[in-house]
Amino acid sequence: MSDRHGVWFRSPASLATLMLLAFTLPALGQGVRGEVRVSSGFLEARPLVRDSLADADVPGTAVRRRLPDGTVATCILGNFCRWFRADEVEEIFVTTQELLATGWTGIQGLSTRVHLRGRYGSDEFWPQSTQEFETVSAYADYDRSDFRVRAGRQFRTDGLGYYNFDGASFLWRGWNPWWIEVYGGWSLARGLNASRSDDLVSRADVLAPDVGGLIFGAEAGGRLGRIGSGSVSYQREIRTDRLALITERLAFDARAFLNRTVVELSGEYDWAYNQLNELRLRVNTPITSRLEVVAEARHHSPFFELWTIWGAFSPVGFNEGRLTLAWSKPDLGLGIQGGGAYRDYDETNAGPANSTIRDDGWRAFANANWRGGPWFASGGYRAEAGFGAARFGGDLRAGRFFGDESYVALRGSRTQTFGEFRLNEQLISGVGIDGAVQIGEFSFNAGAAVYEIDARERPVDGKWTQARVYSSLSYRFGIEPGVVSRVAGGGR
Amino acid sequence: MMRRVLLGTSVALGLAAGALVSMTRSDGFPHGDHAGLFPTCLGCHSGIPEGEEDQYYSVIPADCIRCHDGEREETVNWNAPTRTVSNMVYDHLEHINEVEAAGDSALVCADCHGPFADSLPRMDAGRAPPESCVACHAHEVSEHLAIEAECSACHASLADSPDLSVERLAEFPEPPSHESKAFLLEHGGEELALESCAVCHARETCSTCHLNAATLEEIRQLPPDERVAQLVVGNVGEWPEPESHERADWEFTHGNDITSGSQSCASCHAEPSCRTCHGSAAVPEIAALPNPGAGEPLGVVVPRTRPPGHLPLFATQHGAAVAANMPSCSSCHVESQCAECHSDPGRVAERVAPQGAAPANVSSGTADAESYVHADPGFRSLPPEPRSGYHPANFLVRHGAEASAVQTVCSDCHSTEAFCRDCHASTGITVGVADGAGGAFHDGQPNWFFEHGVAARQGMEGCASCHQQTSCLRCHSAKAGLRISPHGPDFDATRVGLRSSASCGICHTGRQLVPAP
Repeated sequence: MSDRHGVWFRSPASLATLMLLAFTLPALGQGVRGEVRVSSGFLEARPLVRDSLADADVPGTAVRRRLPDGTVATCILGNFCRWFRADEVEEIFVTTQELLATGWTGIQGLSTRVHLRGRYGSDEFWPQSTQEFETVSAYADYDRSDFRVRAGRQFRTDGLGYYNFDGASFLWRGWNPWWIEVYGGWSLARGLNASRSDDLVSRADVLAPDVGGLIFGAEAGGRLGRIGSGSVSYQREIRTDRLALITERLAFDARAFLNRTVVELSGEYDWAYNQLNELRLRVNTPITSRLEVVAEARHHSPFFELWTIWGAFSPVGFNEGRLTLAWSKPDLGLGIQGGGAYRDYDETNAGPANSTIRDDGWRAFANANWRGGPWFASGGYRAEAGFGAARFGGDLRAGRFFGDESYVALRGSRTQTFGEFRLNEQLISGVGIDGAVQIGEFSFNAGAAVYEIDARERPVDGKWTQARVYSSLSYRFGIEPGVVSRVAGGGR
Repeated sequence: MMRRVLLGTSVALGLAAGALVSMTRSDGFPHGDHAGLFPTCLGCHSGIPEGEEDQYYSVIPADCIRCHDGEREETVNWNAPTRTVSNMVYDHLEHINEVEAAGDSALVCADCHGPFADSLPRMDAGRAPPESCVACHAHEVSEHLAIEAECSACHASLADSPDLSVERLAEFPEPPSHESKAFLLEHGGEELALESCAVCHARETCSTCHLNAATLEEIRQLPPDERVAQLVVGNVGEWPEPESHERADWEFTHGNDITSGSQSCASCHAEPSCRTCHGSAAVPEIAALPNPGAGEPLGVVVPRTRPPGHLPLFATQHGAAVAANMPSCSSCHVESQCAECHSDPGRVAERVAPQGAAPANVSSGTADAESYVHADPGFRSLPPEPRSGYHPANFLVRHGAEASAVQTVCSDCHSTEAFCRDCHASTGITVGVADGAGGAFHDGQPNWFFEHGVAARQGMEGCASCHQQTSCLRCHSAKAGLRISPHGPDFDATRVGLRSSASCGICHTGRQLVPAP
C-alpha cells in the first residue's frame, strides 16, 4: 500500500483515460458539460522583518522600551533589543487554471466528474503557490434511485464538514425515508487535495505525519415526513501503518420545521479527546412576513487531529449567543440585516489570576442592500472586539447591471484593526472597482482596488498604498444529454 | 392568457352557438317595417313546420314586387338568404312534435323568435336567442352558458360540424365558468363531459396547456381539428397555481406529493421546469416529465427562489441543513458549486469565480460572513448583489478578528499548516518563532511569557497558525526543557493514549514521529 496514493491521480495517463471517458463523443445519452477557467491575482504586500539593536543603543532598562521613533522593542538586558518592522513592498502574482467537467457515459446512471487545477505563482510568497497541480476531484458515479456508488477522489458532505478523500462510497436510500452511507479509502489533508504526508505539510511542520492516512466511516439519516430530518455520522482515520489514530469523530445534525419556524441542532464530538467541539442550536422564525429573526446558542471548542500535540494542551472553548434580524421589502428592493453576538470563554486554568487576556468578545453589525432596476447599492458596518483581535469598519458599494450577468460596481471601505497581543493598530482605507461581463458561454470578471494602510502604532512602518488586481475568464462548454435548451437561471 | 386561449380557440360552447342558431338569420330583412302586412310567419317561411329546409326561406323576389313595384313602393333588390351554417342539432318539426306529444301547449314562432316585448312591433322577430331555449328548459339548465349545461344536447361537436369556418369558431363565446381559476384547475375531473367539450374544443386546444396531452386519455378521445390548430397557433398556455402549491413548505416537500407518478405534474410542467432548481439531478419523477423539443411549449417556467429552509444567513450557516439532508441539496445543487467556496483556499486576494456559477454570488460584496445572504435571484424577489467570492473584499486585513472569534472555522477549508502557517511565514509573522525571539512579536502584552498560557488555551488555533509544534516542546516536553506540563485538569491521558500512543511519545518518550529520511 503506497502512502503516496494520490500519485495515480497525477499520472497523465490516468487523467487522460478519465478525460477520454468524460469526453466520449456525444451519442444518445452521452455528453460532456464543463467549464475551463483562468484566474489571476496580483497584490502588493510588505512582509515583516525582524530588526534589532544592541541593548545599550536603546534608551532605558525595561524589557519593553521605545525606539526614538516610538516603535516598541523587546529587550534582553545586556543583549539585544528586537522588534518587527515592515519590509519593502513585494509584488505577488498567482494564476490558477481549472477544468471542471462532467461526462455522461450513455449508460443510465453512470457518469464521471473531474475537477483539475493548475497553479502558477511568481514566487512562493502566496500559500500553496508551489502546488502546481492538484486533482480536486475525479470520480465515477453510478447513481440509481435506490443507491449510489462512487469511486475515485470524491467529496463528502456530512456533519464533519466538506472534505475529499480517495476511495469508494456506497449510499443506500432504498428504505425511504431512511438512508445509510458507508465509505472508505485514503484520507487527504483538508483544504490541500493532497496526502497528509505531502511536502506541503511536512515543510510547514517537522512533526508532520510521515505516512498517509486511511479513512472510513458511516452516516445514517432519515426524514420524518415534512417535519424534519436528521443524520448521525461516525468517522475514523488511522495512519496507513496503523500505528495510531488520526481522528475519531462523531457528528449529529437535526432540522425541524415547526410551522414556519426552523430549528436546527448540530454537534461535533471528538471521541479521542472526549470533547464536544461544536454544539449549536439555531432557531429561525418569521416575526412578520418581512422580518425574520435568527437566534443561536453555540458552544465551540477547537478540534485538533491526533498527529499534533495541540489537543494535549487542553484548549478551552467558548459559549456564544447570537441574534440576527433580517428585514426585507422586495417591492422596494431593500433588505436590511442587523444583529450581534457575545461569547464567553471557559476557564483556562492557566496563567496568573489577574491575567489581562480578555476572556470574552462581542460583535455587532448592520448591513443594507438595495436594488432598483439595474442599479444596486449596499453598505454595512461591523464592530468586533474581544479575545485576540478587534476591528471596526464599514463598506459602501454601488453599481449597475447591464443585462442579467454583466455589471460594474464601485466600492469604498474604511477599517480599523487592533491586535490584543501585538501593538498593531491599522487604519485601512480603500477604493475599488469590479465588474463582470458575460457573452454567451464566456464570463469575464475583473476588479482592482487600492488601499492605504496606516500603521498607527508603528511609525517605522508609516503609511503605504497597496494595489490589488484580479481577473477571471471562464468558458462553459457542452450540454447535458437530452437537454434541448438551458432554462434561464438554472439548469446547471 | 388561458381565458384568451379558450375564447380564441373556441368554443364556446355550444349553447353560445345559440347565437348562431340554425334558425334563419333575418339577414337584414326589416321585419318591423312590415308589421301588419303578413298575417303569419309561414308566408315567407313555409317549410319550417314541415321540416323542408329548402323552404325555410320560401319567399321569392316576385313576392316582394307585389308591393315594391315602383309605384306603390320603391323597388327593392332582395334575395332570400341561404341558411347559415351552424352546429345546432335542433329540428323544428321534431321539436314541435315532441312538445305536442308531451301535451304541452303548441309552440308558436313568437315563442322563440320574438318579439319579446309587447311594446315591440308584431313583426320584430329574428334569430331565436339561447334564452328562448332556457325559458322552457329552465328545469334542465339555469342559463345558456351555465356550467351544468349539456352543450351536446343542442350542438354538434366540431368533428360533426365540418362546415363551420375558423372565423365562426373564433366567435364562439366563452362560458363565464371557464374564466375561473377553479375551472382551469379542475376541468379534467371525473365529471368531465367530453361530448360537451367537443362542441368547441379539439385536441389542439388542450395541448396548448397540457404538456402531456398526448398521454392523457381524455384528451386523446378528442379528435384533432385543423381549424382549432390554426386558432391556437401562437397561443401561450396559462397555468394557475394549485392550492397545494401555495403551501408554505411546498417548495421543498413537493416531492412527497408525487405519489402516483408524474402525470398530474406533467399537465403543467415539463422537465425544464424542474431543472431550474434541481439542475441535472437524476430524479426519476423529473425524467418522466415531457421534454419539449425546439419550439414546443415549455410549460410553467419556474423561477429560482430561495427555498423556505434557506435562512437569511444560509450561505454561511448551511452546515446543519446539509448534514441533515433536508431538503436534499443535490436536488438543486451540483457538487462543483460546493467546491467553488470550499475547495479553493489557495486563490489569491479577492478570489474570483464566474458569475455563472451559483456560489459566486453567495458572498463577498461588502458584507461579512455573518451577514451573507443567500443571494439566489429569487431571494423573495430581492435581486442579488453581484459578488465575486466567498470572503468579502479586503478580507485579508480583516481576518484576524474573524479568525479569533471563530465565526467560521478556518480549518474547515484551509490547512492550518500549509495555508495559514505558510502565509504567515511568507509575511514574516513567524520570524523568530524558531529561535525563541517570538516574544518580540507579541509586544502588546508586556507579560506575555506568563500570560501566553491563557491565550493559548483560548486560541490554540491561532497559535498553530504560526507556531510549529516544536516551538512549544522547548518548554512543554516531559523529556527536555522546562518540562512544564501543558495538560489541563480535565485531560484524559489514558483515553488519548489508547488511540495514539505515538502522539504521547512526542513529549513523553522521545520517540517522536518524525518525517522519514
